[in-house]
Amino acid sequence: MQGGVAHVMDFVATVVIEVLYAIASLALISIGLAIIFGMMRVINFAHGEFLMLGGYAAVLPTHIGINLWFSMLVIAPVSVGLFGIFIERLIIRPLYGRIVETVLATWGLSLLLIGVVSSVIGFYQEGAAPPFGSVQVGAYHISIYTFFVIAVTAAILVGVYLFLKFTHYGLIAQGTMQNAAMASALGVNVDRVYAVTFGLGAALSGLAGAILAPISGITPITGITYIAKAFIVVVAGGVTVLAGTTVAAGLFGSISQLVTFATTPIIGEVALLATAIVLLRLLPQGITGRFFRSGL
Amino acid sequence: MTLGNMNKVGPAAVALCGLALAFALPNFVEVFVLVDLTAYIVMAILALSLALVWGYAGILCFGQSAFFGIGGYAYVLAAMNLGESTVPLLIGVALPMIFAAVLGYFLFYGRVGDIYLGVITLCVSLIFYNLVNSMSGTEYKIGSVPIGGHNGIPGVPPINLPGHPALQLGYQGTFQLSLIVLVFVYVGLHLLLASKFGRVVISIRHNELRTELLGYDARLYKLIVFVIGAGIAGIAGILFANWGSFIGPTVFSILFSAQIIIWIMVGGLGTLLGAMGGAFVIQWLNTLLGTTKIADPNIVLGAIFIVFVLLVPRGVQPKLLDFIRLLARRTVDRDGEASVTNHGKM
Amino acid sequence: MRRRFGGVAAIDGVDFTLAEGELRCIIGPNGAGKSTFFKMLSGQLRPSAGRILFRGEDVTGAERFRIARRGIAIKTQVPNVYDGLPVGENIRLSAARKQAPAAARQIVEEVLVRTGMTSHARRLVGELAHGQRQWVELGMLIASDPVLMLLDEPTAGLSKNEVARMAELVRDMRAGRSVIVVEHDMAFVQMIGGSVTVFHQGRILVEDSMENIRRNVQVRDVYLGKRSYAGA
Repeated sequence: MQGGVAHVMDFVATVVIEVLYAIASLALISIGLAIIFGMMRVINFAHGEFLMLGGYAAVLPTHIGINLWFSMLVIAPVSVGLFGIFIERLIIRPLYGRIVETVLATWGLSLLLIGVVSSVIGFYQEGAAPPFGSVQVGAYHISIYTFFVIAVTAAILVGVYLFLKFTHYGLIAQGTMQNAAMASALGVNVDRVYAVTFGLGAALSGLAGAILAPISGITPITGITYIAKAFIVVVAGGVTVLAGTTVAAGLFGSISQLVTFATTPIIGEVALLATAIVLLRLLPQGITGRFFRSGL
Repeated sequence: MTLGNMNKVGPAAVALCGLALAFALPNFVEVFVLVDLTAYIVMAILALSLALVWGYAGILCFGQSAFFGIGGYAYVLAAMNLGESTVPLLIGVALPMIFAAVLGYFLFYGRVGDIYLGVITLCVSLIFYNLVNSMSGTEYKIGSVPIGGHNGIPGVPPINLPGHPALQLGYQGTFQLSLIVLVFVYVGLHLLLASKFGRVVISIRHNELRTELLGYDARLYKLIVFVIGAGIAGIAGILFANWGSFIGPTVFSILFSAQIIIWIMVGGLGTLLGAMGGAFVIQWLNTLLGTTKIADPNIVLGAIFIVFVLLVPRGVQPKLLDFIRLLARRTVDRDGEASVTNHGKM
Repeated sequence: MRRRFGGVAAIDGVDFTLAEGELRCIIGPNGAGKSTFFKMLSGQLRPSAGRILFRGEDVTGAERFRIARRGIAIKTQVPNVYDGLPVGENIRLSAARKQAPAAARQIVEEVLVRTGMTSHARRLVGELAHGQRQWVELGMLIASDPVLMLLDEPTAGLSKNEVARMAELVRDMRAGRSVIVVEHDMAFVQMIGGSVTVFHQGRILVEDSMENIRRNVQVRDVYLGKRSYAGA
């Protein structure tokens, strides 16, 4: 009897961890897009490619001997963040306020980046072995990296919250988000705020791609598998950056992972997408359009 | 002839040219040229479907490829099971339309906003892609035909004369059928958009609020247009499967969806000829880049996409028409004619 | 009726009645809730509380196109016209909902004459001046042969002559119809006649004839910002 209970406990623990991981990875790939959407009302369709670039920025330097942690946690976010600022200037700013045009232009950027990367780097898969090993929970092996991802995601979410709520820039950014005209009248350089915000979102996306690279490998079209889910989480979450991302990721992550356990990963994906459709139909403004409307 | 009259003469001329080509061209060119052209024609039909839904009605559908794929797969599975093509043709058109009716009801009567519409239609396409792509095992089959997963379904039999399964279309026949269908769809859409119904649809894109304040139920108009567009996309899907004797899950891919949108953007929102032209040009460019390997097609397409959104947002045809109008105004002004009306229906 | 936006009550207890065939003018300072009121009447907004009865039937929260079909037509504060379509087509779309094509064309001709837009029939509305766009929108209203006309600032952007012409048109249109006009131009209000309702801070301050309103100290104070409703 005791052995039986232990098996069930192991199983439950494993399920919980896998669900947390699913939630965390959804939140991780979405937070960058959420910041940009929540604060600038811009939907960046090249977001998947920012993730992809982050992945390459993490993995490629290791070929010339650079430490994986350094390239993952420093090189990736910084390089993609700077690239983001460049893109904001060139493409986003001229189209500011026009949601549809922005989506289309960034979709074009996405294709462009895929083309450039596949021309320059090639189509075979890059990767790096996940650091750490695995740990045993009863009869199940769980990679320690899984815990790392969960922990990092939580840290990022908390970090973003603290940053927005308690730093000088954070307050300015929030103010600009609420009322750009007023902020401008108060002497805020609105253009600079937008550029930095976009860069921040891009940097987080790059970081996300870097962290996930050891797990799933990187190809020029890896971004495509991310963009849809990130898009869905952000739109379903609504305009409140943190609450929206967390709640939406929580909902979709749980459902898709639990369904996956019961059936297959593909059905799990389908369940996620189907939930998104139903949710958007019921709450057209996203989750935080209805609840948690004020606040972060 | 004023430019106003050209709105009537133009399409008629185009239609006649098309029909003439359908009958005459096979006598002058090699079969492989016909086969190539057929692919372009099929994509032009698909372009027309999105031109109606997005270009004219303003419905932001990011997943038009879903209806293309549903039509294609439905036709293939039915035809390979039934051994005859007439009923499958009907199924291939009806199934996307039914699906669009359900989805559309959900979206339009729920008053789902613009960009959310884009997200949802994209999701739908992705669901199909994921589903079909994963159905690789032999246990996944409709009737006796395996769905084939990412390998797709090869060996699609050609369309046959109704009631005569043995009389199948060859390459020449497929070309002619596709071109004739294109002409019919083009003329049909032209008539639809010129009708009272069509003009209300056009007004919805310009100002949906005003249209409803005038007493029109915009939701119903959008639903009907969405369904018609799905049917046309389904027809294109059927012809596509016929052209290549094959159908695979890439028809549901996000890259393909992007292509269709680029065709309309380049050709011009609110145009029919422009949409077809956009499809032709982009397809041609794609093929050119694929064979000569000057640059990765994605780079060029992406760049075109960006440039067009930033600099030529209404597409090529409206710019061209603007230019023509500018010239016309200079020569015609003296006759006291008011400036040209253009409902953008060429 | 009440209408809240977040924590703000744009309309806070308005009890408004219009008799069949009456002409009423609504005035009041900016932010008083006049346009919000119109949006509720035309179905663009749903009241947070209260009901709207039209000819005895409850139309609260009805779809805006259904309200339009009952014969309520609105000229919105910011003109809602089809900038990308010609003037004639704008008006035709309005007339065509109820009329057969031939009759609709006839109506378009007449409306073009009445609004003075005949020479502009084929021009795109987006190319016209603001005042002209107002005329187009008014033309669309006339073409739909409404039972109740809601005009939100019809004289915005019009010259003095045009204001007089507009007043004449409104007086003409009044026959057999009910009209509510929201306006800032007091001269125009005098020209068209009708009794006046004063809105302030989401409520009705006073309802009276124009001469009495002009002499009303409260109204003057409210316009000059000296007094809030609560202080009355």
